[in-house]
Amino acid sequence: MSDELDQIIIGCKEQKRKAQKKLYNRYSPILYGMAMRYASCSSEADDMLQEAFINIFGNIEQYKGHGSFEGWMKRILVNAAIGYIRKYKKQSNENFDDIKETDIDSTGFEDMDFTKEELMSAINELPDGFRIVFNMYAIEGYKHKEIAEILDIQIGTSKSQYSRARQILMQKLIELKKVHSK
Amino acid sequence: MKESNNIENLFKDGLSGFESAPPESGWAGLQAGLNNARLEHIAKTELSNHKIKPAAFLWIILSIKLFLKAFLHFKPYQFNVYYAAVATVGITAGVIAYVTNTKSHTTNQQNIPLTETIIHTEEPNPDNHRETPKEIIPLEKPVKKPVQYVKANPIKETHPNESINTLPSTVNCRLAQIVLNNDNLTSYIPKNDRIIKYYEKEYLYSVGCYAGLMYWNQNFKFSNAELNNLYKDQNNKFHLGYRFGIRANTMLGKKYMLQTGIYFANIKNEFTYMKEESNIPILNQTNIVIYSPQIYENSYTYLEIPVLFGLHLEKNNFSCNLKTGPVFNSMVAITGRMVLDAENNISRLHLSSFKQLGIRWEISPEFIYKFNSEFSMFIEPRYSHDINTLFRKRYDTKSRFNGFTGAVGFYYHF
Repeated sequence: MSDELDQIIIGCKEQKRKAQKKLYNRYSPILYGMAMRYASCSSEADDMLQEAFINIFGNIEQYKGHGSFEGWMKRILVNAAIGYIRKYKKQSNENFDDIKETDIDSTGFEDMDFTKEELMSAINELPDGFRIVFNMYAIEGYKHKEIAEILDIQIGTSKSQYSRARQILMQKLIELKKVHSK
Repeated sequence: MKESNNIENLFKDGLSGFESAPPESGWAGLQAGLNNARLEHIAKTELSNHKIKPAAFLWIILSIKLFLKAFLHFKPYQFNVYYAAVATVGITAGVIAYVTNTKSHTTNQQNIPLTETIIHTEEPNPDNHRETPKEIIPLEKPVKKPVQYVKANPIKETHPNESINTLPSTVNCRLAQIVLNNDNLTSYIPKNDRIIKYYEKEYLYSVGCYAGLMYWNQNFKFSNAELNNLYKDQNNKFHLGYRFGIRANTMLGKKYMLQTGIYFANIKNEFTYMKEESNIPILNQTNIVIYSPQIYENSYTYLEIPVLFGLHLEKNNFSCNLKTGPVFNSMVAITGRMVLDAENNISRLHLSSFKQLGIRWEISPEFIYKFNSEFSMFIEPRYSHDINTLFRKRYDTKSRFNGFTGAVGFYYHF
């Protein structure tokens, strides 16, 4: 860990506002990028980021310097995002049972380049449960067992939600590909 | 053992050259598997460290939250600048109040306070202007709250108002009648007497609570002028909300007053937008895709701090404060729901914190009826006009609330 980051963390542990701002300036872009993946719109991402930073500043004394500080903050953000969605988005409609494998165009898209914004937009449009599981498994690298424990769901549910999320994403990307090819 | 080897050889020899065509869906399945792998690769490589710079105001909002959090989590063993500030303000206010109070009562005050009650031994005679014999006697009964009397101007021998002179001649009763007849207080004045203070308008402060209903209209527009032409609101109308809170008044002299407080307000609205053309616009900033028709429901929750300056008018038990001034508000939550198409297959629910600070201007006559020197009730109509729009540059929409509030409440004067 760099000396500068050490100083920032020490300052944050002493609840110094300048140190908190430095930490925010340094890590907010990457955490906001993460939050945007878990949120369905920017206002939700704003709230997730704020909640995450409040938890980071509130619990920074628990960080003992073992492991990556960035990884520790990312875990807090994931927890904040999950907490947010659990708290405020219970009414979301996740009835996507009618999507079947046969609906998915099997055309490959390995030769296509999608922009980050296009990928992000596709993920944002996923239902909440699918979006969380996809983010945690495909991007953060959690195992299904870990996801099941964190979200308090069955491992099978995690796998099926991931599978469906993948199907929906592929469908969206293939549609995008068609738009590109035109 | 030998038989077993024979069976193994049988299968080995018989099936060694066996070929079978894969099912027709095999390649599609493999392709799907490759796509899955590709998708995961793309997601991981492109998005795992994707950075997006948050809006600058997010740090401001976060600072406010951290400030409040630090403020509320006071640790006695640590110096807390916020509590120190509050203590300083409190002590300063106390000193000012004490000095003001003392100053108002030391006018005409002589240095020798009397601890006895002075009672006229004879009824005043309007025809007799000679000095009435007086007798000083000790207090007959100790009162619950000891009252100190300070000597002001000499007692008038007679009072021009006949009714006063025929009253029982106890000091308190005489004083009460004097002030009720709006006379100058030239007799012995009980120190800190509420009645005297009340009629002299030395009661400087009042606190109260109130609640009321709001009748609001939201002027809602898209930032993009083209969208305003594309979508027409089918259901824009006044909507009800509610508001309640606590407030505090202070008199500024005898004619003017200042009011502040903390209010909680909730406004709800609903819009139905119909799109007039077939193309579907995308509002990029918020990732909101609007189909037709769009039903848009929102509930806005505010904390408000009014700073109203008013003219104080009073007659008998009735008074009126004609107030106007800014109300500083912080929108603490938005609960929204958008049903984006006829099949209702996408809905959203938002809740945000400290989204925006705003100012609205309010005009309000406040009609007060005083039950006694301590308690009063009031009724007030109030007109509010948002100075700033609700969503500024961050969103593709902007709106402004205007409306009326009707409220009732109570005051305690001290």
